[in-house]
Amino acid sequence: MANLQIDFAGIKSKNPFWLASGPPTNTGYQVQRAFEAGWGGAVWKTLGDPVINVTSRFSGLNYGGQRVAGFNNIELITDRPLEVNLREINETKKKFPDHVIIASLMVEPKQEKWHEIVKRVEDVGVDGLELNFGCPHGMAERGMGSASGQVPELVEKQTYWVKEAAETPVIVKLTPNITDITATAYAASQGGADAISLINTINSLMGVDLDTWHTIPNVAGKGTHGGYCGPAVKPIALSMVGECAKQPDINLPISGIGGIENWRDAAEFMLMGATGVQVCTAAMHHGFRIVEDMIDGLTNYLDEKGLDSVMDLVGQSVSKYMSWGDLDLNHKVVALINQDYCIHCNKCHIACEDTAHQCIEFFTDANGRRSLKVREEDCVGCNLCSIVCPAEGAIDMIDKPSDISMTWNERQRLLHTFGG
Amino acid sequence: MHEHELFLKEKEEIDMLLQNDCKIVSVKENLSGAFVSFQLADQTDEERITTLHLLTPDARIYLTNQLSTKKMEESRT
Amino acid sequence: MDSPTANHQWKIFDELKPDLKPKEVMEEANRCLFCFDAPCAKACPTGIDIPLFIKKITTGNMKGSARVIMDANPMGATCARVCPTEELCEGACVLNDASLPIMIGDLQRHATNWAMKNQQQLFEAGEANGKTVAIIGGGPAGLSSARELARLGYKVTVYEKNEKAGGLDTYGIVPFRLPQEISLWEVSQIEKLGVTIQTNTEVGKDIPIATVLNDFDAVILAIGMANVPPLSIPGEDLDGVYDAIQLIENVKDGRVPNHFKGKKAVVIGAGNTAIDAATCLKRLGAASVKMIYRRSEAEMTAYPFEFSFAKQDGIEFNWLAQPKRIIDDGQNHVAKLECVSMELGAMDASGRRRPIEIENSDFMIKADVVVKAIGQSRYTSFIEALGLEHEQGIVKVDAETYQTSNPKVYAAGDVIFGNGIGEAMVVAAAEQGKRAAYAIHDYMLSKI
Ligand SMILES: Cc1cc2nc3c(=O)[nH]c(=O)nc-3n(C[C@H](O)[C@H](O)[C@H](O)COP(=O)(O)OP(=O)(O)OC[C@H]3O[C@@H](n4cnc5c(N)ncnc54)[C@H](O)[C@@H]3O)c2cc1C
Ligand SMILES: Cc1cc2nc3c(=O)[nH]c(=O)nc-3n(C[C@H](O)[C@H](O)[C@H](O)COP(=O)(O)O)c2cc1C
Ligand code: SF4
Repeated sequence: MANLQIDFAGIKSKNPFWLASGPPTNTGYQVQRAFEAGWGGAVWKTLGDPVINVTSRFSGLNYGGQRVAGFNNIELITDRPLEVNLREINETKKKFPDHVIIASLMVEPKQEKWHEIVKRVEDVGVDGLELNFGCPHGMAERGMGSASGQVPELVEKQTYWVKEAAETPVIVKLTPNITDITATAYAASQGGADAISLINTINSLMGVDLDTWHTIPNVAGKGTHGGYCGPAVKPIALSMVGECAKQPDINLPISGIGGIENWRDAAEFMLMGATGVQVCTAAMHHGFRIVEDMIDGLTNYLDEKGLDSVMDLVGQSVSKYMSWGDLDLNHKVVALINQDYCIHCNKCHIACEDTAHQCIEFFTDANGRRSLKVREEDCVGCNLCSIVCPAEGAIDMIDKPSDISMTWNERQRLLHTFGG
Repeated sequence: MHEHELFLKEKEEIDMLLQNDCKIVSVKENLSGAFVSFQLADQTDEERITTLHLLTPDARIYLTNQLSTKKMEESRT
Repeated sequence: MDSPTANHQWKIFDELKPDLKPKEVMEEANRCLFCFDAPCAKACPTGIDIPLFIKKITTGNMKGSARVIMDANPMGATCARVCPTEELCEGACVLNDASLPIMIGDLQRHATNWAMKNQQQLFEAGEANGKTVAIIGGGPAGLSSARELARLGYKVTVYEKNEKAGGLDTYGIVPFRLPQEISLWEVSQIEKLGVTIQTNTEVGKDIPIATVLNDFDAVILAIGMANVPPLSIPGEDLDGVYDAIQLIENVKDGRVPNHFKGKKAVVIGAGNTAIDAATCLKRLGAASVKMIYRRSEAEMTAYPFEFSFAKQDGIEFNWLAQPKRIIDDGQNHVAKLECVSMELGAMDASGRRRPIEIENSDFMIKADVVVKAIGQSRYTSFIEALGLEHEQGIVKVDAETYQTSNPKVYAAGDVIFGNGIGEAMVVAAAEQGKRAAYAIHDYMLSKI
C-alpha cells in the first residue's frame, strides 16, 4: 500500500491532507475531532488581536441544483483571546503528537508585534507558522491580510521579521487578489520563507436579493465584499500554484489550497507542484469525514499507478505547463460523434453553428434518422461540442498527429529570417 | 465558401509557386494576414516577384511548415 | 426433456433490469446528499455506510466504494439486486419527501459490478489464530460468517451439500433477477481468503454429524430451509405437479426444460417463491399462469414490486381460493385443480385474517401444470440429530449471540427464521452470519 506521508518544508505529516485556517479549525474540540477523523494536520484559525464578527457571515453559490459550487464569507480572524487558543493548541498537540498543527498569524505590520506573537505560539509547541497575508475583507481595511499581501515589499519585510524570531518553518499564505501571484511568492522567498501556501479567498460579491435589493450575505440590510472559495475557485488556485511551481527563482515547497474537495483535486494540486493541500469549504459542506475517502482514494490511485509514495506525484505536471508560445501550432484534434451514444439533443450543433466554426452538420442516416456529423476539415478542435455534450462517450476528440511540430515562438524566429 | 476550401486554394497557390522553384524572399504578417513574396527561379529581377496574400490560419502555418522543411533540407545538403 | 442451454433460449433468463449507464451513475451518485448519521444506512440490516460508498463513486474511487459495500455485506452484489430496497434503504432515504429517493440498489450494483469486472480481491485473511470453525451450509448466512471468521484469522471449513456454494442465491432466486455468476463471484471472494468450501458434502450423510461436532472449536449451522412442504391434498403425486424451488433450481443451473411450452400452469401460493416460479413459467413458455392464494391481496407476503412485476408479466391472480384436490386426466397426469372459495375471518397468530372456507363454493381450474409454492419446510430431523432445541424446526438461539442450546453450536439465516420474526432475506442471513462470527470470536477471546 502506497505511503501517504509527506515532508513539507521539514514538517512531517502522516498524509497530505490538512485543514485550512478557518471555521473548521476554530477550537481544540474541532481540531481534535478532525484528527480523529484522519486529517494529517490543521492550520489553526488565524490568531491575532481578537476581533468582533458580524452575523450573518457566509453565503453559498448554488448552480443547477447542486449546492455550494462556490462559497463566500465576511468572517474575520479568531474572535477568541490568544491565551485560550494557545491553551487548546497545547492540549491538542499533546493528545495528537503525530498530527501537524500550524499556527496561522496576522498582526499589524510592525516588527515587535510579529516577534511577540511568534514567540508565544512557538512556546506552546506548534509545528510551523503560516502568515495570513490573504483575507480580502475586514482585516484589509486595517492594513492587514490582503492589504499587506498585495504589496511585495510588505510581504518580504514581514516575512523577514518573522524569520528573525521563528524557530519552526514559516509558510507565507498568499492572496490571489493580485495580478501576478509570483511577485508576492518571490517576495516571500526573498524574505526567507520556508514555504508558501495558496490561495486565500478571492474578492467577491455573492449576489443581490431581488426582493429586498440587499447584497448577499447581508448584515442588517448592508453587505460588504467577501472572500470567495469552494469548488468554483479550484481552476484559479491550480493555475496560481502552477505559476509559482514553474518559476525557477521561487524555490519553495507549496501548500495547495482552493476548492479541494476530494482525493482527485488533491492529486491534481500535487501534480502541479504542491507538496500538501489544505481544505476549508469542503469540510464545511460535508464534515471532517470526507477525509476518509481522500485517504482511501489517493492510496488506491497510487497503488493503481504503481507508486510507493505520494511524494512521487509532486510536480510531475509542472514541466508540461508551458507558455502559450511553446505549444505546437501543427497539432490537430478533431471532434468525432459516436452515433451509438448520441442522444440527439443537437446541443453540439447549435454550439458549433452559433459560437464556433459551423462544422457540425445534419445528415440522414441509413435508417432515415436525422443525425449529426462533424465536417472534420473545418473543425478547429476547440472542444466546445464535447464540453456541451451531455451524453457520455458521444463525442470524442481525436488526435491527428502531425509530422512536424512548430510552436509560435519557433515560427516567429523562422519568419524573422524572412524579414517578417 | 467553407474555410477549409479557402485554405485548399491558398495551399495550392503556395505549392504551385514552390514547385516551380520559386523562392520565398520575404514574409510579412500584419492585421490583414500574411503577405508572402516569391521570387521566380533564376531571376533576380525585382519585377519577377509575386506576392501571395494568405488569409487562413491553416495556410499561414502550412507556409511556415514548408519554410521549415525547406530550411532543414538546405542545411542538410 | 431438458434442452441444452441454447443461447436464444437463455436470453429470456438474462438479467431483467439493465445496469445503470455511466451518466445515470454520476448523476444519481451526485444527487446523494451525503447525509450524516444517514437513515438509509440505519435501514440496511448489514449497516452498509451508504453515503460513503456513493461518495466514493463520485470521486472515482471504485475499489474503495466496492470495499465499503462488501465490508459490511459479504453478499453486497447479490443484495444490490434482490433486496427489497423500497422497504429498506431506499425507503428510508430523506429525499423520499423532497423529491425521489436515491437509487441505492442500482448504485450498489454499479460499484460491485466494477469489482467483479476488474477482478478485484477486496479483503485479506487475518493472521491465523489456530482456531477452527465448521460451517454447515454454504448459503448467504454460512458464507458471510465464513468471510468474517477468515478475516479474524480462523481456519474455516464450509460443508455444502450442493455442487456449488451460494445457497438460494446460487440455486433459488430466479436468474433474471440474480444471475448465478453474481453469487459465485461472492463465493470466490470468500474462497480466496483461504476458506475451505467442501461442496457435494451433506453433513449427516457424506460426513457424520459427530465428526463435525467434535473436530472443530465451534460450529455454525446455516442450512436454511428445505423444499416446499406437501399440500396434503389428493393428487399431489401426479405427473405435472412440481416443487417451485426445484423448478427454479433447474433453470438457475442452466437447464431450460421445454415441456412447459403452451401449458396452462397454476401456482399455489403468493409469496416471493410463488412469484418467482410464476414468472419463471412464463419465460419457459407457459400459455397461461394463474396464482392461487387462500387469502387476499392484502395478506400476501410478496412485495408490492414483485406483485406488479408479476402482473406486468401477465400472471393472473385468484385470490381467496383454496386447492382441495388435483384431478388427473386418466393417465396419471394433472388435468384440473379443484378449489374452494374462501372468506376472511378474525385475526390469526400471524396477525393476518384467517381464511375460512365458504360452503358449497367449489370450482374447477383447468391445468396441465401445478406448482407448489407454499413456503419451505424445515430440516427438523437433521436438527434433532444435532441435538439442538427447536420449535417446529426453527432452531432456538440467543438473540444476541446466535448461540444454540449447544454452546459450541451457533445458528444463522433461514434456519432460525420464523414465527413472525423478521423476514427471510439474503441481507438478514448475511447480517446474522456476521454476528454469529463475532459472537464466536468474543467467546474465543474470553477463553484465552
Ligand atoms: C424462490 C426464492 C426467492 C427469494 N427471493 C429473495 C429475494 O428476492 N430477496 C431476498 O432477500 N431473499 C429472497 N429469498 C430468501 C433468501 O434466498 C434466503 O433468505 C436466504 O438465501 C437464506 O440464506 P441461508 O444461508 O440461511 O440459507 P440458504 O440460502 O437456503 O442456504 C443453505 C445452504 O445449506 C445447504 N445445506 C442444507 N443442509 C445441509 C447439510 N445437511 N449439509 C450441508 N449443506 C447443507 C443448502 O444446500 C444450502 O446451500 C428467496 C428465497 C426463495 C426460495
Ligand atoms: C468562513 C471562512 C473563514 C476563513 N478564515 C480564514 C482565516 O481566518 N485565515 C486564513 O488564513 N484563511 C481563512 N479562510 C480561507 C481558507 O483558509 C482557504 O484559504 C480558502 O477558503 C480556500 O480554500 P477552500 O476552497 O478549500 O475553502 C477562511 C475561509 C472561509 C470560508
Ligand atoms: S451552522 Fe447554523 S446553527 Fe450553526 S452557527 Fe451557523 S447558523 Fe447557527
